[in-house]
Amino acid sequence: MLLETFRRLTQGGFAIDNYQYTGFGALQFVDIKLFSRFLGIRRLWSVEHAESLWSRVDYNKPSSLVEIRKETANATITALDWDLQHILWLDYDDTLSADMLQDLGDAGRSLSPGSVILITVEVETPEIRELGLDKVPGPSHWEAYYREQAKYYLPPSLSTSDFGATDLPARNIEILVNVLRESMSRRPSVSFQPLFNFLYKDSHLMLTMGGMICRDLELAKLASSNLESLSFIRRSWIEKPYIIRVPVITRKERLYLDRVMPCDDGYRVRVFKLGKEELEQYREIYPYFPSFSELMLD
Amino acid sequence: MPKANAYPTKTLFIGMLTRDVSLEGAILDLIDNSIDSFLRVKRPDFIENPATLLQLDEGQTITDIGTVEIRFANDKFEIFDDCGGITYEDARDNIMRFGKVASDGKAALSVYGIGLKRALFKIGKTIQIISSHPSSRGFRISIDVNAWVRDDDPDTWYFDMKPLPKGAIADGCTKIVVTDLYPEILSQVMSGTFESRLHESIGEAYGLLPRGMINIRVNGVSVMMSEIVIRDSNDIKPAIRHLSIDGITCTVIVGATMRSAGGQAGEVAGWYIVCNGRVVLAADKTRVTGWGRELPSFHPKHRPFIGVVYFFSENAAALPWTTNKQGVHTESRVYQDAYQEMMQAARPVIRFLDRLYAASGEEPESPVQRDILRSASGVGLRSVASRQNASFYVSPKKKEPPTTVRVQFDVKIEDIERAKVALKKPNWSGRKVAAYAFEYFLRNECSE
Repeated sequence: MLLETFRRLTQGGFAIDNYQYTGFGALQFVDIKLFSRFLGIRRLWSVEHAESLWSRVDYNKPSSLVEIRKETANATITALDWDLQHILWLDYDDTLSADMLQDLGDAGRSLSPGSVILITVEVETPEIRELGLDKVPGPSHWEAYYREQAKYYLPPSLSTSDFGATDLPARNIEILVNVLRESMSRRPSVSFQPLFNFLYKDSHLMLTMGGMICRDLELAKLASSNLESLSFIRRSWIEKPYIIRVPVITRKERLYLDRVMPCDDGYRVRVFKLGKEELEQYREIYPYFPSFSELMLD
Repeated sequence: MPKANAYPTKTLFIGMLTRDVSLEGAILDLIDNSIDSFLRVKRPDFIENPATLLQLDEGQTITDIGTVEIRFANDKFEIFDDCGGITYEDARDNIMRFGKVASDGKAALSVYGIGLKRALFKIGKTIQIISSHPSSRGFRISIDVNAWVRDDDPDTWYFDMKPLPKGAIADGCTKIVVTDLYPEILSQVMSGTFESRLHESIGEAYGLLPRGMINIRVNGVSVMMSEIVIRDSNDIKPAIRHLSIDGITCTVIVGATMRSAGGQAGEVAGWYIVCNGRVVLAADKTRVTGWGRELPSFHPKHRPFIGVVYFFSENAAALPWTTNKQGVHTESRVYQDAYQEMMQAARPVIRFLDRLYAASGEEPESPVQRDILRSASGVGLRSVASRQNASFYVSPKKKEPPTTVRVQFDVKIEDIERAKVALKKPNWSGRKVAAYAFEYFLRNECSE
């Protein structure tokens, strides 16, 4: 989905291949590989803070174009060249923290117009370590957690009942939107245009939000990028997030389904049993589901 | 005799006036005026003797409530209140004067007669003040700041005003609208955090006024006033000191607090300086209030510490607050005298907290005293403020808390039999097996 968006942005006049991509590639470098192979990006930074992983990251680096940044995300953001345009993906695998908000705010304040910022955080209930094993945390604990981490970024109208487990994605969205609003408030004639607001679950429920820093020139290019025809694009934070549901299917089943996609509403798989819901989920996402050949990027 | 013109320029005047107040401070100045108006109409006893604010019983119901509504969006700021209104004559003769006029009535929170003008000139370039008082005509004052500043003739220190018919605004109400906000104000207002910060500032500044007296809303959401409580029981009591300094009533209350709902204990700890009910310094942990000087530097073990110093005077200008009411005038004799009392009252509390959480190598921690602290409930400050002078008190209890607890639970017989087999103790009682299992767990799974 991100790749398709950036392809459309290229058609709209953004020189995406000239951007720098910075992400948290970990050991697999999947993002780095996808962005360099399919978008032609040649400036690639991968951030790894954990010293225990540095030797493995160096070993697994997919190409000499990739620069491994062995430092915190905040140090990397400070080092980004403000004369370039960037795609910066702050791909955290944990619940939101004050440090993450600092990173996002710093990026919003400093990156050049045309740059795209994405942030991924876990939106399940935060771990409350000081509670002890015999107590069950609830909304009051989660409220205390988010008020400590996000403080002024939370709207003042919230009460404890707004911090139930199912409310946390919305709370995270509010916080991240307010961080971006604050960072833009110091930049005259510049706005942050929403593009992405995804919810999905791999092992945990994750939220990915993102958008572009724009002046008038970038706004005009966005308008001619034909993004609105993409069902997963979110051009307003008021819109509910796009929920990515990936059905659990085997490679063999995928190969079969890909031959019949896009299928009609009444279509039913005859050779194996697949629920209507799972079929519809697959129909929704199959254009963006990288094939295994594409994923064999090594 | 020739004369040299010493008339102030409007540009310099406005520049100096607005420089030392923050946007939040400016809004608090406007709220102060609303509260003063409310007190004049509904509680003139508080104006004559502000110390009565502290004497109101904690549970006493306030029947008259003033409302202040603040709204901001896009390029507009608005504040509305129903706290009494401004008379036509006051608007014409007094309120737009820069400085306090001799004929001004008393006020609890309005000190120098510049808060209103300073706030409005801080926020934007186009200002309207509309009000109606039951005893006079309504009026509208309109200010185009740029046009006013451009004309620097000494005879132009006035603002356009026109009477309004009754009904143009409800009697007893005042509305101030500012548009063409300055860019630095607009960027603050439109940032993602200003509303939350403003809520916090308002809740802090007016949290010690009698509960429910004023309802303040920001963009439709009521501000939650900060709640300060102090632990009080038969075994622990706060220090109380009452003094009078140059006609100013001062009450010092020092003791231990507890964390606010949803908050951290450390956030409320420290000193609060309150002038005529308005908090001017909140949760202070700096040298201004003695930390790192007569008191040790604030340390996490001091998190339960709370000290509140109330200053009351019918002459607001005599109180030890700074001109922007966001700090203490530390060189004021009133504050310096009160400071000595603060330090004397605080030292026993600090010693108590030091004993509770002794650093390693010093005296052992005191679980009895910790229990005394934790078991004391928090009470409102008004509940203790009327007590006579007293030092901080902690019961010299020596009784140690029990060191054992009885554990009883049901276990399936087959599970106990399995354990006996594993232990090779077929004759042990179930109680003995369970005790052994617990000891085993302690030995192998728990660090010393």
